[in-house]
Amino acid sequence: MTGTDRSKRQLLHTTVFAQCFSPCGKYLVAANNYGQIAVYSIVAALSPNADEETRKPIYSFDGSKGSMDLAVTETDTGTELLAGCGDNNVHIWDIESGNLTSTLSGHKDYIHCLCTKNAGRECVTASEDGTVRIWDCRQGGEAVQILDPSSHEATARPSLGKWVACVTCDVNEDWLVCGGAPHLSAWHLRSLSPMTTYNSPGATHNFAMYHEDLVPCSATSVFSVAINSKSECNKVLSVAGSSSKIDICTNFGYKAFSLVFDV
Amino acid sequence: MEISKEASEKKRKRTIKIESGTSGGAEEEEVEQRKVGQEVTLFHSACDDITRTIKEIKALKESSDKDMKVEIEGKKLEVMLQVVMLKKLNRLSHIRCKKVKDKTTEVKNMIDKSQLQLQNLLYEILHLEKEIVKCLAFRSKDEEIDLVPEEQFYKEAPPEISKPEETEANQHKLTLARLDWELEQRKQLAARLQEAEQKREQMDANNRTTHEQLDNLQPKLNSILQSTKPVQDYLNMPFDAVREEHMIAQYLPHPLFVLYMQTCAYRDAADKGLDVKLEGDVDKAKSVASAGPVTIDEESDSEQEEQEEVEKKNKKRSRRKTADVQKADKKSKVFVRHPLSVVVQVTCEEFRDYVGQFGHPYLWAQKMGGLQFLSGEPGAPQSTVARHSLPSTVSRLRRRLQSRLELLTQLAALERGTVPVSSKYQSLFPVKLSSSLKSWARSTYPDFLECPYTQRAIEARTAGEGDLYFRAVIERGSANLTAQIVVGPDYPIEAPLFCVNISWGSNRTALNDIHVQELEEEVNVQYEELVHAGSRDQLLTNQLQRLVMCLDVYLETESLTASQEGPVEIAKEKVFTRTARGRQRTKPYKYSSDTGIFTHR
Repeated sequence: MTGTDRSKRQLLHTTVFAQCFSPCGKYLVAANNYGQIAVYSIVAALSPNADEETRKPIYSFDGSKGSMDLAVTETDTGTELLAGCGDNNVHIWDIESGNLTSTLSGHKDYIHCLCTKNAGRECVTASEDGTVRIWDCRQGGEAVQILDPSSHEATARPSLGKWVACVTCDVNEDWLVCGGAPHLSAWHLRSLSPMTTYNSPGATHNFAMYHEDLVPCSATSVFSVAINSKSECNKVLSVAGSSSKIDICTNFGYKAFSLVFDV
Repeated sequence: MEISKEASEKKRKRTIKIESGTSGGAEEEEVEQRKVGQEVTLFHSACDDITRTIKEIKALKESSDKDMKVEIEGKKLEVMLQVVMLKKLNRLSHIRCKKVKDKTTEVKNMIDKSQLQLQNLLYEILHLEKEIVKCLAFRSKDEEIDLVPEEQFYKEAPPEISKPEETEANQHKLTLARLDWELEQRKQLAARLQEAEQKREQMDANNRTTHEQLDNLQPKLNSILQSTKPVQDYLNMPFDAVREEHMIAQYLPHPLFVLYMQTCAYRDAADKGLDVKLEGDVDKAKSVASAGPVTIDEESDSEQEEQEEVEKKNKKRSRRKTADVQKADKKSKVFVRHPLSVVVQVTCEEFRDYVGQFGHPYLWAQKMGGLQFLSGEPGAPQSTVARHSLPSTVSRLRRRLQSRLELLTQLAALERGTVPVSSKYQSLFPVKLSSSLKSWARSTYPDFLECPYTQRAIEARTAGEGDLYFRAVIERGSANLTAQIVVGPDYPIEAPLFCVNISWGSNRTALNDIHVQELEEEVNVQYEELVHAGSRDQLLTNQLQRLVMCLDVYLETESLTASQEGPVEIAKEKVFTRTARGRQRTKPYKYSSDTGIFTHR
C-alpha cells in the first residue's frame, strides 16, 4: 500500500474532533482522530479567488495519538491550565512553572468536558458518570456543587445512558447548559434546577456553546462548532464532525464551503 | 431858569402829544426816531417831576396859604401832564415791543427757510453718493466673457482692431478692442462650424449611398455563394462551413476566441490530425454577447483555461459578506457557463489503430525488451535496460500471479460460505464469533454506484470501473450486515475497501452512525495488523473476519446501552473493559489476543 492510497483511505474515515481559531482570527486549527493537526488559512479560503487548494491545510503535523480523554481550558489570567482527564480527576497545572498545583477528584468516571467560570476561580465539569460538578479551583478537594441531569426527571433519558458530554456557562454565569445522553438543558445556577429542556428526540449532544443569545447545539456526529469572533472581517461559523470536511458558514445560515482535512 | 427849560420841554411834549394825538403813524415814526435810552430818561424825569410836584403840593397844603389853591391847581395840572406823558411813553414802549417782535418773527422765518434749504442739499448729496456707489458696483456683461490674454491679443489681433497707440494707455478702450476681437473670432469660428457641418452632411449622404450599394451587393453575393456550393462539395473544400464556424466564433469569449483561432491556424498550417470544433447553443451565445461583458467592480478575477476541453471558468469570490441583490444577480451572470465551447481533439491515427491490433504497449514489457523512450524518440534496444528491469519485473509478475491465485482460492471458500482464516492468523481473532458469513457474491460497478452508503467512497475516488466488486452479507439474529467490497487491481498491495450497511431495526451506515464509520475504519485503514511481513495474501479473508468480529462488538455494545424491555436478543459474549469511550462513544473494536479482552483503539 502506497502512502497516498493510505492517506486517501484515512481521509474517508476522518473525524474532526476539535478546532480552534487563532487569536488573530486568520487561521483555523483542527485535529482529527488520527492525531493529526492541520492549520487552515481562513483569509485565503474566504478570498475571492479561493479554489480547491486554498481549502486544504497550509500546514499540518502529527500530534500525539493519545487515547486520553482530555478537556483543556485556560483560566482568564492565563497562568493555569486545567485538564479533565481519563483518570476521573481534574488536574491543574501552573503554566509558568509547569508544576501540578492541585487535583480535583470526585467524579466516578472520566470527564468529557470542562469549562471555567468566575474568571477561572471555579470550574464546571461534565462526566461519563452522569453528573455535572462545580469546583472551586483554589480550594481543591470535593466538588462545591453537584448537578445530576441523568437522574433528574425533567432531563433524564435512561435509554441513552447517563453520560454528560458537554457543558458551558453563559457570560453572566447565571445559567449553565449541559447535554449528552440526558436532554440538553439549561440550569439555573443559583437554584441548581433545570429551567429549560431543549428537546431533540433520539439525538445525543456532543457540543454546546453560548453565542450571543442563541445556543448552537449539535447532534451525535458533529463534534465541534466554533465561531471566529476574533476578526470582524473573517467572522464565520465552522462545524466539524465525523467527516474529513469542515463546513464553513459565512452567514450562520447555510454552508458556504468545506475545508478538507487532506494532510 | 430851570422852570423855563422845563416849561419849554413841556411845550415840546405837548406838541408831541398833539402830534401823537393826531395819528398812530406819527407815534411809530417817533419810535423809530428816538432811541430806547432817551425814553427811559424821559420816563425817569417824568416820575421825578411827579414826585417833586406832589411833594410841593404837600408842602403848600401844609403851609395852608390861601392863594396856594391856585398854585396847587397849577401843580395838579403839571402832574396830570406828566401822567399823560407817562401814558404816552407806555404806548410807545408797546409799539416798540410789537415792532421788535415782528422783526424777530421775520428773522426766524428766514432762518427756517435756510435750514430747509440746507437739509435739501444734504439729502441731495446723500442721494448722489448712493448713485455713485451704484455706478461703481455695476458689472458689465463683458466681464463674464473669457477674453484672450492681453499679450496674445496684441500678437494676434490686426492693428485696426487692437489700435495699440490708443489702447495701451486707455484701459477702457483696450477692453473694448479686446471685445471686438473676441466677436470677430467668434464669427470666424461660427463660419467654420457651419462649413464642417455641411461637410459632414455631405459625407453622411455619401455613406448612405455607399451603404445602399453594399446592401444591394449582399443578395448578389449570396446567390454567387449558393451557386459555388456544388463546386465546393466537388472539390472537398468546405469554405462555407468554415465561414459559418468563423461567424459563430465571434460570439466566443475573448480567451476562447484566441484559442480557437490559434488552433485553427495551427491545424491549417501544420497538423491535419488536430480537430477543432465549436459546440453549443449559438442563439444563447448571441444573447450573452449582446448583453455585453459582465463586470463586478471587485478585485482579482482570474480566468482560467483548460487545455483540452475548454470552458470558461470565472472564479470570483466576494470578500464582502453582505452583497446586495443587484450584485448577487451580476455574480450569478458571471458564473453562468458560456453556452459555446471549443473542442480540440488530438488524434493519433497510428496509435489508436495499433492498440486494437497488437494490444497495449506496456511499459514493463518495453523495458524488458530493452526499449526506453526517454526523449520520445525511439532508440535502439539496449540490453542494459532489459538487464536492470527484468529481475524485478519478473518477481513482481510472479508475486501478483501468486496473489491472484491465493485470492481465487479465498474467493472460492467465501462463496461456499466459510471464512478461510489460516492458522497463522487465528490468534488475531477470538475463538467464538456469533456472527457468520451468510453469502458472498460477485457484484458490478453499476450496482456499487447505486448503493446509498457507497457515495462517500465514490466521491473520494477510491473505486473505479477496473476494480473487482463483491457483495457480502453477515448475519447475527435479526441483524444483518451488507458489505460492498472493492478489490483493486493492485491487491494485495492496496487493501480492499469495505462499505458497510447494518440493518438492525433501522439501516445504519457511516453516514448516519459514527460507530459504523469507525467499524469501516477498523477494517479499511487499520489493516496492517492483519498481515505478516512476508505475505499479504490473506488480507481479504482477515479483513472479512475482522468485520465479523466488529459486528459482534457493535451489536453487543449497542444492545447493552439500549436497555430494552423484555429478553435481550443479542447476549453479551465478549469481554470489554468499557462499552464506550470519549465523546464519540467509540466502541471497543480492538481485540487483544493476549488477554482475550476487547479494548479501545
